[in-house]
Amino acid sequence: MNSEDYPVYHGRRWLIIVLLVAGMVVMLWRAVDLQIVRQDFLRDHGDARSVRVVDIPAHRGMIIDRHGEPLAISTPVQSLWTTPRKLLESGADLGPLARLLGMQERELLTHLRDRIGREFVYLKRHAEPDLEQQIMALDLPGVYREQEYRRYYPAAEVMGHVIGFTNVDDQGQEGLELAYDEWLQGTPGRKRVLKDRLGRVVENIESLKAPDPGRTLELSIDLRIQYLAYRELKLAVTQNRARSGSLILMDAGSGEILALVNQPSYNPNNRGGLKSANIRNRGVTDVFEPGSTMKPFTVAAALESGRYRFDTRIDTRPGFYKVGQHVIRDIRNYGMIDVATVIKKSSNVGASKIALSLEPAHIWNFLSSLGFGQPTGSGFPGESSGKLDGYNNWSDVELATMSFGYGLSVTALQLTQAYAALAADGVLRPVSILRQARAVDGVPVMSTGSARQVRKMMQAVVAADGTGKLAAVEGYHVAGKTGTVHKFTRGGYAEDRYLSLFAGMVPAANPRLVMVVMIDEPAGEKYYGGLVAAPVFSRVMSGALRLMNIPPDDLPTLPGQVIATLAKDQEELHQ
Amino acid sequence: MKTLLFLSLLAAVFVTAIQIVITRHDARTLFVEIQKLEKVRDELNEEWGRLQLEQSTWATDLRIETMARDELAMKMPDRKTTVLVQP
Repeated sequence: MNSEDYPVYHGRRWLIIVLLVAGMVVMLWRAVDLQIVRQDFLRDHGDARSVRVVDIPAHRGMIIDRHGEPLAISTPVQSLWTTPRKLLESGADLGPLARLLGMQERELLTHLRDRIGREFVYLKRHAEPDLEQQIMALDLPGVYREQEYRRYYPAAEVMGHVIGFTNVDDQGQEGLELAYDEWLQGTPGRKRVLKDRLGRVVENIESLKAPDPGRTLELSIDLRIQYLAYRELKLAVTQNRARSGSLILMDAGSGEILALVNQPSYNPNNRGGLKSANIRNRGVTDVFEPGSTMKPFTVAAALESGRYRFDTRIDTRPGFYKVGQHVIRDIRNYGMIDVATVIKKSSNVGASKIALSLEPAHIWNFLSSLGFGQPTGSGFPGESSGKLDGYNNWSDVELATMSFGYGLSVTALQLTQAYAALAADGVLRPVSILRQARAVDGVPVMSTGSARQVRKMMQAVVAADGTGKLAAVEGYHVAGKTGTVHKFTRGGYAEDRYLSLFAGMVPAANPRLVMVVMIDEPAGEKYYGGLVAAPVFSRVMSGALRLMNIPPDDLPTLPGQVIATLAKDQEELHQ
Repeated sequence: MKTLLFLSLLAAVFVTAIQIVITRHDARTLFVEIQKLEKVRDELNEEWGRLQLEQSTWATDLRIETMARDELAMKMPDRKTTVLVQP
């Protein structure tokens, strides 16, 4: 074969080469353009279509009691959501979905059609695990789930008022959930993920910020005592057909609240049909006139002034006392009595005479230093500060009535705090709902001697012939004071509407626990504080003393009981 | 001499390039692993929360009291049957 047999087309060959080279240059240029020149722009757009930054939900902190019992826990639940357009355009049968959601199919259809423009519509928030699985099993296009947290309150009604609750978005709405929202709330983290066309996470690329879970809140409440207090208060309110009631138990040495219950209560786990009146933490938000429970402070002010001793005689004859146009009455004529008997018999005349003999400024300063008229700083939302008017405007009548607890108003918490000052030898400590790790400093508001003398006088109230004898706790000396307050209504003080009170402390010589029981408008035959509130005090206190391991201080009243010594007891055990 | 320097720098560039690829791959693998472990941790936390809830539901004072009183016929010892130990 010979090359001459074939014609040589140089022109064509060059054309092909030039075309191929030109094509290659174009391709190379394009590659450079895409890879280098426009790289950033293109990558950004690619990322914008598939890379997403999503929140990592953070866990809300737990609330626990002083022994670590959980009072509020967040557990993850699934919320179901949909993109209406996708769901509707898929033409899927919505019947089963509507049934599971408890709706009519037509209802669901209008619900979705109304929101057709939206990308994100909740179908069911915080779905039960069963329901969530059933719905996801339908495998409907455009139905997704999202993890959220739901708050559970194991102690339910018993702790309802103290803890409060959160809303569906995990934000505190009431009680400590609201007050310590920032502390409990975690900060959600963020991560970058790769999502596919349907919005499913294909790959986690990187973590931008780790979620910061909320912190645990440790309360001073002792759940066992709280439960006991709740049960007894509820029983008393029901039996006496009262409108409401509050009970606060405080540790005298630290100002920690060990129990705080109110009636009526509510279950924070199930808030359907909840009445707003039941949400109120009455012991902290509601004020009342303290009545006779004020007398120990009047007497303490008298002792502090140095002009009275526990045995100073006061003439309460003839059982009533005219101040201006006003007549102050005792139940009967007590005659010449000493200061201690004023408290024991709860003499209004005696208290008025003491108050009128003192400087108004001295009384005002004393009551104000005990925290009356000021919020306690417990941190509860909606805490009321009560009312204590300035002494410049006090008339004699006002001063006299104030001495037995009318004309000023207090919350149950303020009253508890003031009684705790009597219990702590005259040191007023800040109220705390959180557990205190260290001893709490207080402010001395009266001398140790006065506080001890007043406690001694209050012991007589709970003696066998005292007004508060039903508050007695077997094995312990109790110091306390009853109160039966006429309620102030429109048109003056009501004759037939009362507030029954008992405030006291145990053991009397060196009190560890202070309690105030308030029962509002008992509608039964009994309405005296000594008959309605005092028995509640006795029952809750005896349980609390046992749970707190506080040794009895009144051993002679435990007849027939063998008092074994430790050594002897151990010998018996070893045999 | 210059050629040697050039060649060694070229080699270094290649080595670092490959190192970058390897490191990025490692980082991804580690990130996936940490995600997996975090998921396990979260699940364990969730279970712990659930168990705590369950425990506190079973151990409510009301339930224990009812069982102790009604089913087990228990009662609070009264003062006559208690012995006080004085240290």
